[in-house]
Amino acid sequence: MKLYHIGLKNLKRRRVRTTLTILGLALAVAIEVGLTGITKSLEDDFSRKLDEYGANILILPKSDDLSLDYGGLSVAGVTFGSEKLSMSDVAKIKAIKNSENIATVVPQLFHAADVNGRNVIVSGIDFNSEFRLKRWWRFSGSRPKEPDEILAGSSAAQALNLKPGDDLEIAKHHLRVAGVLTETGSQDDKLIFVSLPIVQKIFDKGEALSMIEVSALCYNCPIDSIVAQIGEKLPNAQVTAVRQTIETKMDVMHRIRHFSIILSVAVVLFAALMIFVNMMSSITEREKEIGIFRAVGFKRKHVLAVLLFESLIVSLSAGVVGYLLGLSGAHLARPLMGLHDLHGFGIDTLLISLTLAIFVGISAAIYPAYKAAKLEPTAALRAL
Amino acid sequence: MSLIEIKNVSKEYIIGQTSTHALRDLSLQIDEGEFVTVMGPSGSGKSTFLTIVGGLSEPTSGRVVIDEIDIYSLRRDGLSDLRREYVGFVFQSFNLVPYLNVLENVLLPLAPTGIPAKEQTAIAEGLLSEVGLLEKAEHLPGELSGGEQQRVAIARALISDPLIILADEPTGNLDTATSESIMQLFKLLNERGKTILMVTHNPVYKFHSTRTIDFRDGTLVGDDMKYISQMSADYREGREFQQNIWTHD
Repeated sequence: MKLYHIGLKNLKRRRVRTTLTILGLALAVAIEVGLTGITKSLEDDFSRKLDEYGANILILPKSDDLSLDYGGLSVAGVTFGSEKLSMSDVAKIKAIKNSENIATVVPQLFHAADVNGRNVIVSGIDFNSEFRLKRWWRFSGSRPKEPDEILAGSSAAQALNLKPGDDLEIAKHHLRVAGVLTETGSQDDKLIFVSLPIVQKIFDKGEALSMIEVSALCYNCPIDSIVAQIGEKLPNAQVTAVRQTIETKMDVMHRIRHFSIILSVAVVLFAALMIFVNMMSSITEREKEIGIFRAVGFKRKHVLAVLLFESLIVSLSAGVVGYLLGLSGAHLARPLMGLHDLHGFGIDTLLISLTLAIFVGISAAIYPAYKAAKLEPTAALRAL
Repeated sequence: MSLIEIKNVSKEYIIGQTSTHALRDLSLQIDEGEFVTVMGPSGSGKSTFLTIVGGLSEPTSGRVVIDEIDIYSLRRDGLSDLRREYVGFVFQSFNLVPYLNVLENVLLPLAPTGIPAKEQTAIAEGLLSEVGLLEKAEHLPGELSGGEQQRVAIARALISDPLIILADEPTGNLDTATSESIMQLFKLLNERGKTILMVTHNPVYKFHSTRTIDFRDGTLVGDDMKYISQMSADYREGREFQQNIWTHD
């Protein structure tokens, strides 16, 4: 017989107490695992959605010739065409070290034009990229499919009296209105959106660009590093992070994470307290048994080993059960939270669950076990 | 050289502001192979004497020497080793671990040792066979009679093959017939060379032993070695029923 046999036998004898202790600790682990997983999934989901709300990096040519305010930044060269960005810069951006964090790159070319006797700003864009970046865009009519189809901002359409299906001429180039944007409250309302190659062609701009918008999936990613990397690739460009967007994202995420951590710590502390009280009570009940151990030659370390082994078994079981409960709970909560996917339930989380359970279980048991091991045999053996 | 030497041992318990002398300046020598009956009224210090000899309770003053080892000069772990290797305890209330079966209870003192499991089991089964309980090796203590439980406790006390058996009223919870069988068991062990110190209230058991010591108020008031030895020898010669004692319960 070995010492661990004694621990296992005792756990089997006290089935109800053992089961309840395992369940108590497992519940704490489950809450921690579930909250961590849901928070991680929420972070990912929320981050993805926030990233869909628009660009968080703007790249402009270095110039003092400012004439258009765009997203709080002024865009150079609209009037005088001092564009210093080109289509080759788009490829350079996609080749930076942190390229996996780059979700969307949207090149734009602005040019002033006379349309139906009124001055408007024409924005050359890649419609696919633009629609991916600006998922909040709503419009009447249809999405431009053909190269000569355009999208009119709501204010521009009103000023030019345009509606879907109308024809118009820009720089002697015949175009057709596919759709009219509903009001966005942004600078987009004043623009006429035309396919980028068409704008470059009709205004004879070659591959020139006025601005590049970048959406970086950068929750917790090094946005400053990305900005620096783009700056290195495009030395003639002014690369600016739209910090407000990023910091808002980070702030929201950190609040969720902090709440999750506080709740987890509270639950884990409660579980530790429960195990501590349970162990203390168990030690009192087992004083005579510990006296027998000591009388037949067990050293203090042997008594300690038996009790801590029991705690280890309880903790390991609670870790596994807690992980499974947490996973199941998260799956049940997933539709309620509006989550499509769950993240953070891999083997690393299982290992974290086990580590947490063992840490809590052993920490809570160590003092009662030490107290038990210190019992003098005669004090424990009241029979003598 | 005596196996056990008790030199000027006193034990004082202090409870609150009251101190109680359980033993007062006790000196005694016990040779190997003696069967000592320890008698005296309740509270006379018999059990305290036993716990001190067994290394369970350190005396307030004095020395206890077993096999030339001053046991209370040992470190705590050394004292635990001594308890396992030199001393086997048998208690009035058996003190078996309720969730371990008979075999496991007997094996308990060997659990912290590195003795291989097969070897441990062979020793324990041999002992259980001797006390007539091998067929109940898988039973829990709660499934046994009092006499059977005490036999398990005796087997456990013998598992480390100790020199000394300390028994604290081992028949106190047993009926007369069962008590007699347990006493026969102790006698047999004594005949095999074990030194036995047995606390008892029953004066009849003096006749099983080789020596009787008597306590009053923590002081040794009687040590009747020769008379009891002779009586015990006479008694031993006269008995004819020993063959069945192992299974008598």
